[in-house]
Amino acid sequence: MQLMKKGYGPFIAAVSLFCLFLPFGPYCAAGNDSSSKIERLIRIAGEKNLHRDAYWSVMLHYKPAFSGVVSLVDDPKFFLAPDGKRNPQSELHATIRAFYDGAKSGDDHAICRFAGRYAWLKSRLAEDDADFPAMECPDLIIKRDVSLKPRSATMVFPSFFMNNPASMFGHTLLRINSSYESRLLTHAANYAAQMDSKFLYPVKGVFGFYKGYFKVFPYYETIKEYGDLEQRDMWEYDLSLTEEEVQRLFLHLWELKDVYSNYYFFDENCSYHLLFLLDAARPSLRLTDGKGLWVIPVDTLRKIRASGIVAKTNFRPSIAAKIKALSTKLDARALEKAREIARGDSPPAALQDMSQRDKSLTLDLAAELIRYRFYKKKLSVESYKQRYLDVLKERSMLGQIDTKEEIVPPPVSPEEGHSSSRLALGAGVLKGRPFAEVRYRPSYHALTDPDEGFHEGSQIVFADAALRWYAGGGIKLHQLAVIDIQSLAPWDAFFKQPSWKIKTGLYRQMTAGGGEHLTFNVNPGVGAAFRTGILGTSYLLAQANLSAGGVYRDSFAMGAGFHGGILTKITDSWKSHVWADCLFYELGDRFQDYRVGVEQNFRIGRNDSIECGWLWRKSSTTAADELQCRWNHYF
Amino acid sequence: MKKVFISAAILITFVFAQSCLAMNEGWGYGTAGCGLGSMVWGDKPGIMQTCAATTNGTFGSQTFGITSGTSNCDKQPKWTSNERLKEFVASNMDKLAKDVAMGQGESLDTLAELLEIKKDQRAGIYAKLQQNFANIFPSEKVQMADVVDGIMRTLNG
Repeated sequence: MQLMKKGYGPFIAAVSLFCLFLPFGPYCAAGNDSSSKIERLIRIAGEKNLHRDAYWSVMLHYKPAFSGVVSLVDDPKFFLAPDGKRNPQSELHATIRAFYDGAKSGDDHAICRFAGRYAWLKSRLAEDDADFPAMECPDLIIKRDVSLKPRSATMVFPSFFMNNPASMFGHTLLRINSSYESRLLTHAANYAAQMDSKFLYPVKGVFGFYKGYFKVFPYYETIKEYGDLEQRDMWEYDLSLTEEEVQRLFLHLWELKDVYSNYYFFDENCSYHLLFLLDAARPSLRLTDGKGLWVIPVDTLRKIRASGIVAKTNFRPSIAAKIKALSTKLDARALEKAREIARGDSPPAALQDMSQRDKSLTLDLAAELIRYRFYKKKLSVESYKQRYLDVLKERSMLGQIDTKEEIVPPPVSPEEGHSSSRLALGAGVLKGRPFAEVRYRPSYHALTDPDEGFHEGSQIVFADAALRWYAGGGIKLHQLAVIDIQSLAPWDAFFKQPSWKIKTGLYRQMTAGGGEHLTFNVNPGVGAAFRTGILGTSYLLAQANLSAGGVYRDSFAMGAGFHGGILTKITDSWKSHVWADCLFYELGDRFQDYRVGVEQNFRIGRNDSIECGWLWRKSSTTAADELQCRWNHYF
Repeated sequence: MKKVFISAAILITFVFAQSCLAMNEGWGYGTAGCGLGSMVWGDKPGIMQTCAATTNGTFGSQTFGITSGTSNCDKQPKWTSNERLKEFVASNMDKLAKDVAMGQGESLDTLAELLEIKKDQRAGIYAKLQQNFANIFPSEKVQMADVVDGIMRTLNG
């Protein structure tokens, strides 16, 4: 201001303008000395081909594009060069220049803001330049050396929600472990979309309208979110990354702070972006290479597993899993007591005639049930607090019990289940006519597929297409199940949830003439499932079906009916599904449709099974039966 | 046919969206506590949350039942200035209460680590805390500072 008053204004303006036209205009302030240094470093970087270095691509998230490369980061402030998103070399030059920027200091300076790039460039260039620029970064230091203290890293996979097969795809996040022994004193980095409204979110998500950001939270908050509120079991995979590698991971995470990439549900999603952090830690992993059309979290887990960096797996059960495990250790009377206490119908002290162990476990169960009911919003905060503390107070008077009693046995971990895609080859006989079948399904898990690593009683199938070749009859599209989801959640004393299904796609319908026609169907259903001893899970759903096709009078038929069945795990590798189905069509075309099916699946390896089925159908007056065997291969 | 595929695609997406995004909708998700450990980045870009625990969403999500909202940070314990301990207790009241009552558990191990209690002394200290449960968590109105003071009194008593 002082200068302006004395009439230097025009002079300064002229100098600024002059600076702008120089090749390194914005950095004019750095002076001649630094600009010659910059020139030198840029020359050396060029000689070393640093802009083509794989690590530079990891740092900037460059991926091959139609021509050249493009960064998957979409936030302009992540790039220092105007064409940085597509030009690794000009971004590298701009980065080196920014390191000499005299106008900024502290955490705003490029050296602090892009600490990952800085550390790498320094390691590659500093030997040629003793006075490589440096900067104090107070905020970075506090986050790194006080808050997070990065020492090691763990991949975390919160698995499915109960009764929501869609969540079987899971989610992944990365935990940064500190020098503390307790896993609760760590932090979790989570890549997630910033969503404005729930309306239209699926559509927006496909086309990348949402911005995805990395967020970092204390890990216990993550546990509350997934393990307590959403009742998802969590799998933790300790990675064998060195401390130095984890420091690199942290610096890259720091660079991505407040920087967005457009979020795409299918491929550039939560799981894919996390992989950049691992590649930044150890570039030789190359986990971000070769992304397909979609990225399923459990598949990234397999990829990480295959890379050999998983050292140890830990299972962290949800409250629901704890309740299930505890309830197997008590008799019916104790279970009833636990429920009464949780409901507030019985005081926690009313367990006099029980053994010490039973008393303790009953109260432990009651406490978990109270928490569960609170998270499920079945209990007000006031009653929750009071009841919970009452139970715990009673429990505290009983002393400790054997720790083993509290352990929830871990199921098979999700990445050990069968692979996501399935190809099947089969042969069979329909009404005496032999046929051969090829069947392909990109994802994910059917009721009869082997359960290991999946949620029992859940099915989520996309685009299950079957082509059949009939002896003397050519090739026919037998079915195209666009979506086929089922959730059989056994109704019991603790978990009272409906079972449901939604099925849509092209299926064969029999018509009065005896022919079979491909029709489009939408088939929802809702009901209940129960555990029925050695029979496994039995279920009954009320269902409706809307069937559309030229074969019908008025081109459609709408009906309602029932669908029920018994799903049994006979041995560890033999699964049986017996079901019956009826639909009474009353709107549009009028007819009745009855079906009975028996399906047997024999697991012959992690990624192979043999499935045989018998199907009987009757529509109005015509009946048909079909026998088929096929080999399923998961890949 | 085209319509069928479009509606199917939307439905598929809807389902797929559940897996990655579920955490970001429904329940408000804020950071909690009032110490260094919660000074990380999240929620709104550019905003560091320190003592910004607000009762967002369905529950006072950071502390759940026993205490809620910013009340964690109002009152300071007399016995300790250990920021991370305070923050841990404020954010994990429910689980800590359960572990103290049971005389074992992960949050109790964490507490012991923050208090730098040697491993061979922990069993005895857990038993002592268990016996004093009613003093540490006397009522549902208990706050972080009361719990920390109760724990310290028990250890020093």
